[in-house]
Amino acid sequence: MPSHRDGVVETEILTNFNKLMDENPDMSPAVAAVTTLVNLMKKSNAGTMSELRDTIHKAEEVMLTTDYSYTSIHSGCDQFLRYITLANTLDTNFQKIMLQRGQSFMDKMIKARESIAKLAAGFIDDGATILTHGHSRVVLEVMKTAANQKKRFTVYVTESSPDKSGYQMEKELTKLGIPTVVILDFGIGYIMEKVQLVMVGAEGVMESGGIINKIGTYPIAICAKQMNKPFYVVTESFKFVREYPLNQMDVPDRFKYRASKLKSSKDLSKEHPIVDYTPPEYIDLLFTDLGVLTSSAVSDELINMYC
Amino acid sequence: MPAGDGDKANDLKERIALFVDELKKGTSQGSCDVAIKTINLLIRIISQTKFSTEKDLIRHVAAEGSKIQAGDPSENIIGNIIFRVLKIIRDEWREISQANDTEAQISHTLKASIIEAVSEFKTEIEGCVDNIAALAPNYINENDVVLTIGRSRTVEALFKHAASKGIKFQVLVSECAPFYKGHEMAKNLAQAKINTTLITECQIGIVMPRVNKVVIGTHSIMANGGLKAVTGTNILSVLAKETNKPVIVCSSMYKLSPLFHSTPKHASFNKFATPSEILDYEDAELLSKVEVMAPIFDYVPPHLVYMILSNNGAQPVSYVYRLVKDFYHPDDVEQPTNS
Repeated sequence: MPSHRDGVVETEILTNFNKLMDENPDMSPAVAAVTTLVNLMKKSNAGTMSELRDTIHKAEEVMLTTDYSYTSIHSGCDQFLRYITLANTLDTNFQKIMLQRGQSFMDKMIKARESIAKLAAGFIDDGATILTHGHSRVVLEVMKTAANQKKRFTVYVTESSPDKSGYQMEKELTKLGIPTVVILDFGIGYIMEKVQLVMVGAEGVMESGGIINKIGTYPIAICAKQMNKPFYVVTESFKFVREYPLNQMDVPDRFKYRASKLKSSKDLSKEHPIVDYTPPEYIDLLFTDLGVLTSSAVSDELINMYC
Repeated sequence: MPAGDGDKANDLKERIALFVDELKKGTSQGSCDVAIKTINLLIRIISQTKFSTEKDLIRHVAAEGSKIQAGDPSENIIGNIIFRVLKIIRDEWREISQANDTEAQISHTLKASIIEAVSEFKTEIEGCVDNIAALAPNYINENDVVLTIGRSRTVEALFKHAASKGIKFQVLVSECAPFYKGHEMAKNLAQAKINTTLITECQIGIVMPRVNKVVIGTHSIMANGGLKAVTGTNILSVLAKETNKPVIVCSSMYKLSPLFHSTPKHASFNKFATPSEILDYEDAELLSKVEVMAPIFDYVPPHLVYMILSNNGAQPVSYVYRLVKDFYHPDDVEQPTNS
């Protein structure tokens, strides 16, 4: 394909992806990325498997240049490709089959949040006090489900620097009639003794069963462990990534900094990472669309997906 | 769905009612007994049901099962057995529907093969205690000092088996107040010529440093690897952790529950017995001034358990999720909401 054609496709992918993200504030970047890929496949006239694979890889690279969560887009696209290529590729009609599989993957992704909410809401008691970190769509959905079950509970949410997304969470929870208090990020130690459980979302779940999430999740997990409070992670299975970080430094830079920062900054040691890695030993349970998992179950599920 | 023969149906109803009664009174003889009785009823229910699709059967068995479970909602064993049988039905159906084409053929062979598979499961349960006991020489060593609490048939069989192999070891039995099942355990072990010492719960902290390992039974294992065990087990496990002694749990696999113990308020987790052992009826005038409670179960968090000794061999606690996945189908199991 000539290079000027590539440029046109690139901008098209970017507009498509950005439009989805702008129009649907409730949508996870992974879902938007996969939706973009499905739209791309509908138009693509790739004649061979490897051509299709290339197209998808290129599209993924393009979307990864945006400032949305790298972990989330990367895991979504990776699993998407894996899922659609599991079909019988010898069939000459492969484009149609792949598109069907792609669409069924997308449908599953969209339904995931609902099924998780049903599972996790059972772990919220009437009269509970819950600590959460910043804004998470899936945590919000869980709390909404629990509130619809007529449970009364209080939520403490960290304001979550640097984007202060905690205030958005507060706004949405208050709209649902759930008593919510925003606390300082440094207030977690103060509030932990009042809290019955901690519930956070995740940008990505690593092969170790640990999670990558908004910076500040790790200290909350350590604090919860120290005070013996259960630490629950609510996350869709399309966020499972094949990475095995050993410590914070080992987490790839692409996960830790926005794409624009990586491009513009020469000295990353002076930049603030936007995510941190919470090791599996701090996580009690993960609520996913695959069921309620312990962190050791994550690698098992990843093996099921990829091997 | 109506069962076939009228007489047979009435007989089954009576049997179920009898068992439910027994559960309500709490007169059953241990968890193996409950498991076997449940499975016998389920076999009868399946054999008397007329069904055309496997979905009908699953629905019917689940409905009848929930009637049995209502006899004692905190008795996880019943639920476990029901869920296991439902999974067996699903598996058998899948196997048979793959091998046969016509629906008539499928439903014809399905019932027979389900009953056969369930009976096999029953045989497995009956052999559980012996299978676990046979592992004793691997886990009880010469000159060991082993601590246990209360009475568990499995643990008792394990110790006796070790003794019969000529291993000399000492057992400390915590009496397990207020029901003192430990007294019976100590007596039985002493009769089998095992060096046995009876202690009270308060003494656990004192003896722990000179214990090699803690071997306990459990009522059931929750899906996260935590235990629902007799009261006193939690404090025992905490003290064992404090001195880094391994807590080995002897449990048959049918005790593995697909449910989570999410919070202490879990609706059907605990059970309360009459506190008459704690406070005599003679002192009834005190009752208006104090509250007396006798909960039966403790929740032991998974990080305090070292390993599970089951009829499938030794299993680490972190592996429990996998077993739950193998044994149960998620559609059959609904997590109880605490409302």
